[in-house]
Amino acid sequence: MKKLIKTVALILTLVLAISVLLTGCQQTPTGPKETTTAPEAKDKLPAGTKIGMTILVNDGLFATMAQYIQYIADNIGFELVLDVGAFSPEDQVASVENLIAAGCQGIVFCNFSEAVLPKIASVCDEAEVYWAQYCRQVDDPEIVASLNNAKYYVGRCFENNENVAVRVVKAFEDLNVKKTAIIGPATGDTTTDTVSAKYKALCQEKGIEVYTEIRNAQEAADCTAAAETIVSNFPDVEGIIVLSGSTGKLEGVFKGLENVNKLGKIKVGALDASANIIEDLRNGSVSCANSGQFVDNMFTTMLVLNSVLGTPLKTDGKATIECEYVAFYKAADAEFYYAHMENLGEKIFAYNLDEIRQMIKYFNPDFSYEKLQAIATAYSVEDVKTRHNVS
Amino acid sequence: MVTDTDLTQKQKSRQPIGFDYKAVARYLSGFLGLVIIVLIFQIASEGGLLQPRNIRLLINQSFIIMCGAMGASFVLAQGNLDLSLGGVVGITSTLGVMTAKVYGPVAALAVALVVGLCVGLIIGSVHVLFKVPAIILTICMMFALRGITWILNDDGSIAMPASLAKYDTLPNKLIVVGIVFVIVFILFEYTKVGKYSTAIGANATAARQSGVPVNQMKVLAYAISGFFGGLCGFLSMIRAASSSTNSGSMFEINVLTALVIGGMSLNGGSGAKMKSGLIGALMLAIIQNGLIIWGLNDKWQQAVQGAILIIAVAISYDRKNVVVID
Repeated sequence: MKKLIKTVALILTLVLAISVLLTGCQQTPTGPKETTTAPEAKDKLPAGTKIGMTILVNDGLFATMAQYIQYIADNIGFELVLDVGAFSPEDQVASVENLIAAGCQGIVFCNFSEAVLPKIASVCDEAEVYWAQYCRQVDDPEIVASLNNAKYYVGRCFENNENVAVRVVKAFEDLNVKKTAIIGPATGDTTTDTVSAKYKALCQEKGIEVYTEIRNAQEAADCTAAAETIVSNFPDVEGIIVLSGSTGKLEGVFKGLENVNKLGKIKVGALDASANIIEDLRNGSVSCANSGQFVDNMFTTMLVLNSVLGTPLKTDGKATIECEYVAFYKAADAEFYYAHMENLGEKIFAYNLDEIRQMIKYFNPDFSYEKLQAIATAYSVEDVKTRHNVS
Repeated sequence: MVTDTDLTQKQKSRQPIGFDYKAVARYLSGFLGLVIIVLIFQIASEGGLLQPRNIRLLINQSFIIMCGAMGASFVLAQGNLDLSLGGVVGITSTLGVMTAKVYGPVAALAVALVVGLCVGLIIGSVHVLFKVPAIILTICMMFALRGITWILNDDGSIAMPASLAKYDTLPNKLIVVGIVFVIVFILFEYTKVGKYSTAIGANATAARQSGVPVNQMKVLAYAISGFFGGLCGFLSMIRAASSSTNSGSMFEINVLTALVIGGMSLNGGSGAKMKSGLIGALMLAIIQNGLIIWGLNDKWQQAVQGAILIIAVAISYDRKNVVVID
């Protein structure tokens, strides 16, 4: 029997070896493929540019980001490789390694927590792959120093997360809400932790009570249970801030409030928007929602893309691009936004393809880091109205 | 009159002469699954899968699961599960980072191993003393450990001292996997621990009546699982150069998946094989890595991953010891 096992093992090994020979063992290119011919069209990038992107989940926000960049990639001429669902540090490292293995020359990355960043920097430096972070600021000075020393780290783009708390507290003040609670995902997520900390600080300052903070509400059902628990334990609660409303979590909170007959009576402020945000604003389910951050990912892609093409926007130091959320207080705000800024069906976005081409030095040699910063800083409803001549 | 001896001789005479093809097929099924998956992705990725650089990456991505799966083999051989492994990895990587910052890597490794071992001993002891079902107990322990991990990672994540990055090398990983394999292989194949564990998995009552110290073996199996879980926590810390509230998340599922697609029977007994963890972990890494190299649309990735896993399990899963109730 041992002889037979050896024979079969030998056959399997031979099959494997032959397949390797047949399919080839060519090296993965580490830079853009050299092209001897001119680009097919003046509005397309040279062939062979491949950008990788990690997205934490395949939810509304991240799906919108992916669709927007895919739309840009299809029209401008680069390949986009997505990797979905890396949350733990080890999975995030594996995600970047896989994108590098897929031949990506640049990576647009969103970390869950920031301590993993030096490792990502080391993996990308070793592979000589440019990378930048989206939707993430870095607070730890040691990590910032480590990133500043990483050769292939291009920079980061982030929103002012503290302003989310500022706007929600202001909305609660205007509605005379004095007794509140917090619902959010597990601690460790940089964005939601920042919003939570600022919210609690502002509440203390303004005399608004925070009864409780329920974290680890990772999905809609958790949020429903959290909302029910809050109302059950604190029947006089007047407002709830939802630290992450994506993936149906905001709808989960609404369902919980509806179950205890408090929908619309307890005011809700949120980071992210629900799927039916226009209707939810109209019927008072939510009083303040903060969205529109899908463009952050596009700014980051522009940073990486320019570096991959050999025309980096920032040559001295690392880029830091800050933009602002778009706040919705009433249905009309969201109606305008979904018609003119994030209209996936009709492919109408806050920045159209012509504007995007102007952010790439390959098409617009005069473009600069300062200009990208200015564009990001100006990002707002008013800015889109002016640029696209809509009202 | 037919005697017992005649019957035995008759039964023997009915056995196939020559090779036991079914046994060979069973033995090779795990390898066959691995080869098929390699072939699929080698072709789909136009040769990208087996490039030297990608092979190194596959080892990077599978060696921690290999260690965890080998450590958990004893628990599975007894027909039990250890769903606390993710929690063990989370807490030991966090404690490892905290210890390494003050006392260095050796102390960090010691702390991770001791904490893992203690968790395993607690689970095993509670399981045998209070007759709490292992699945419930280990789930509860996972939640408890994850809670402590969140508390310890107060700021969300803790960076490992940069000086420890030098340990994250391919030779080190191969050495660790090799040492773990040798230890577990000897324990499993050449000591009473392995034989008793499979005996318990086959029939705990019969094993007890045969003089197997079932309770001690159960405690020992969880202690081994926890010990290697602690090692995985330390390795995870070195690999990610950090710990976070999410460290070790889904680790227990990855270990279980690796063991099952590697051919391990969840019922325990003689269906438990040492090679399952190694083969399964490699298959899992190849599937995850291969789908991205393939360039498959992200929306299809999970569906294709599920389909490939079903095929792999269908090929490699040892059904000999499974009892199906119709």
